Amino acid sequence: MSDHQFERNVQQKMDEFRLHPSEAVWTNVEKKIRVQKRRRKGLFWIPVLLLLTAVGYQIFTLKEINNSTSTQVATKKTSNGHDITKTNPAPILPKSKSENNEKDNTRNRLAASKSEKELQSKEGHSKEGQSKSNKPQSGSNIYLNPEAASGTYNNEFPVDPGRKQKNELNQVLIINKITSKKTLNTQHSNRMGNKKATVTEIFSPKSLQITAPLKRNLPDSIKGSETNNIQRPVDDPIADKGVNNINNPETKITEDTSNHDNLGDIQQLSNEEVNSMTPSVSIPVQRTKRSWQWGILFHAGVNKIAEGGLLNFENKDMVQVVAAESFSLPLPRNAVIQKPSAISPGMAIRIKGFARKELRKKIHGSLGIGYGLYKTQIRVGELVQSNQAVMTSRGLMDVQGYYRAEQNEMYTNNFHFIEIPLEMEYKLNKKRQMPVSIHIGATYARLISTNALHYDRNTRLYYKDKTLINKNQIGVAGGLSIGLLQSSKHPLTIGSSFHYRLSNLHHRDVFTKKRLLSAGIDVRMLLKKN
Amino acid sequence: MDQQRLVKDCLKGLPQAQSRLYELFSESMLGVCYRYTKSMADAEDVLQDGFIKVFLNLHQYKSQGELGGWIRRIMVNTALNFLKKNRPYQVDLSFEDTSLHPVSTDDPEVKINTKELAEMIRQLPTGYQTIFNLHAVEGFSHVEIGKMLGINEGTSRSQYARARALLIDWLNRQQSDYKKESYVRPSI
Repeated sequence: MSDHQFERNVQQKMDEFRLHPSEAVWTNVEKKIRVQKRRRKGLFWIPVLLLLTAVGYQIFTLKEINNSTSTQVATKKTSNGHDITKTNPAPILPKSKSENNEKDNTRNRLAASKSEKELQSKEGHSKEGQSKSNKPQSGSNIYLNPEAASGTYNNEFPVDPGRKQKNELNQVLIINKITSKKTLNTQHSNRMGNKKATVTEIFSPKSLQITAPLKRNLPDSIKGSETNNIQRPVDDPIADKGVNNINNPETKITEDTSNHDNLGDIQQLSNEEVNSMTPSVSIPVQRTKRSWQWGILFHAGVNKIAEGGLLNFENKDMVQVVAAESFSLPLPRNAVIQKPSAISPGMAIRIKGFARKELRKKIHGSLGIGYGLYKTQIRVGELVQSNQAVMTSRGLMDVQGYYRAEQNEMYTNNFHFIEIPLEMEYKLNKKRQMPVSIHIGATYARLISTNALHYDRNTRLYYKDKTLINKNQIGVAGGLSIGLLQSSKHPLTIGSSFHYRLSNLHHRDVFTKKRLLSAGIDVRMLLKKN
Repeated sequence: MDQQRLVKDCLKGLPQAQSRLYELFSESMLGVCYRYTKSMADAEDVLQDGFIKVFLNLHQYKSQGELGGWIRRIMVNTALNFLKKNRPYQVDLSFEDTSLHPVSTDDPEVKINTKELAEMIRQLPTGYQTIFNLHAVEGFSHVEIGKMLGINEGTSRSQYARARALLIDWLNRQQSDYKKESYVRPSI
């Protein structure tokens, strides 16, 4: 029997050879492919979700800033055809008596914060009682509450149903956004000399403005039924009733009478009503310090490939000997190993956006998303555009185009990653102008593209196969930075950092331990400062 | 069901299609895995890992080739990786040129059944077994085997010759035993 006959017989018999696998095999296969696919889908959505969350939060935050800092004028048509203007006017100062005298016809209502029951009990007893029903009732008062201070305000004024239409114009409440103490102080400094915030309420076309100081905790006297310092025109009926002069040095409620000429119904407020409109909830003045800050980071540095164990930074022959190593069985003693050219370090660039938050007095945490480009260089021969069989971790593969193993020209391996870094920053000194901080963190990186060459020592050529690169990588990072231009709108931080990938650069089928290692200069700029 | 349709359905993630694909090829592929390993449990491990690779990399399959051949290639590669990773096999997986076994020139006819032949191949030392499977059964050339295993072509040739000789020797012995047995066996 010839050799070929023997092989043919063996091949024929082995092709017929079948065995029935146990049930457990399929169960395990099914389970694992479900898990793998779910994991792949999850990994894809993580960056997308993070990006969407960041964008959404940014939009929300910008809106909030706009509300709190800019003067807003919004005009709204009511059903009666009147224009109701909601303004965030400049802070209203207590008017002098002479000023107030010029506006005799003013008929205003200050919303009272009496309870609904109290208002209802007064309703219908007298003209005055009726007038009360025109006024906003409990719950529709001017709320000097945290909501108002943080950028929202209540413009709902439940009124007496019987006079609902008539009072429709009276149902607009405009409360000035309470801005920071600093802003207010600047606005008031010329007139008042002290820090104040303004809460304005406008009833109907007439604007009734109530000025209240920025105060976190108002005294109990304000919260109760005691009279507060309400400044009114001398001839104002309310003033006549002796409602003024609430002796609170920081709380003043001012009635703006400038536009009240056309008010039809003149209603007067009783002392109780005025008292009841005093603020009952504290007003936070400043934004909390621990809000998110947004920024961008640019990193430029040098990238190289570390080979071996975790802490082995020795620079060896860097080009992947994928084919041989992935299947290598013990080599014959006399085997000649063809070595590829050494890898030279290349450039590393990272750009990321991040959100940063103060966790403790000296500690900040940040989460970001960005792009990283890592380069290495090798010397290769000429490019040959023809098919060639090479050995990969998945068996023999035909490659179209390869580089000869010579040292003629420089080739740059590029690794493009999407990265999600998580970082902690610890401030080492107390200097506000030049804070020195230490950074440590971890990064998840997902390979999006590469043109890296691999070396096949059998055929002595370089070829491309991105499937041999580990797509999901985890790394650690550290660095030192110093803050600059801290008082500017966009503070800068400059420092050095290193990044080391804990995950192998190559796929697990490839039995080599190579990791990306980069070091360079970081420049961070905060887009939004606390 | 058409294989291309089956592949498309598997790519869509349809469990029925995946199950069908497994049923179609699992028995023959277990036969492949069995020849490279020394126990049924190891063969099933290889089969399991191989099918996971098949399903996760099915998008790489190009419909020009035969699906069975593509799956078989994956199984062979998985088996080779398995041999390398598992210590018991590594010890036995030697390609040193030793002349432990006599070389027989008699080529017996392969009259034994497939199961017996498979068992006989598995009795070979792991190195011989691997190269014999790759060359005689899978049809790889010695150049290709050299590339796959990272050895010289000559080593592959010599290893195969010894594996083949050993196998033929065993087959001859078995056939002579069978002849003797049939000779002494009284006719009924």
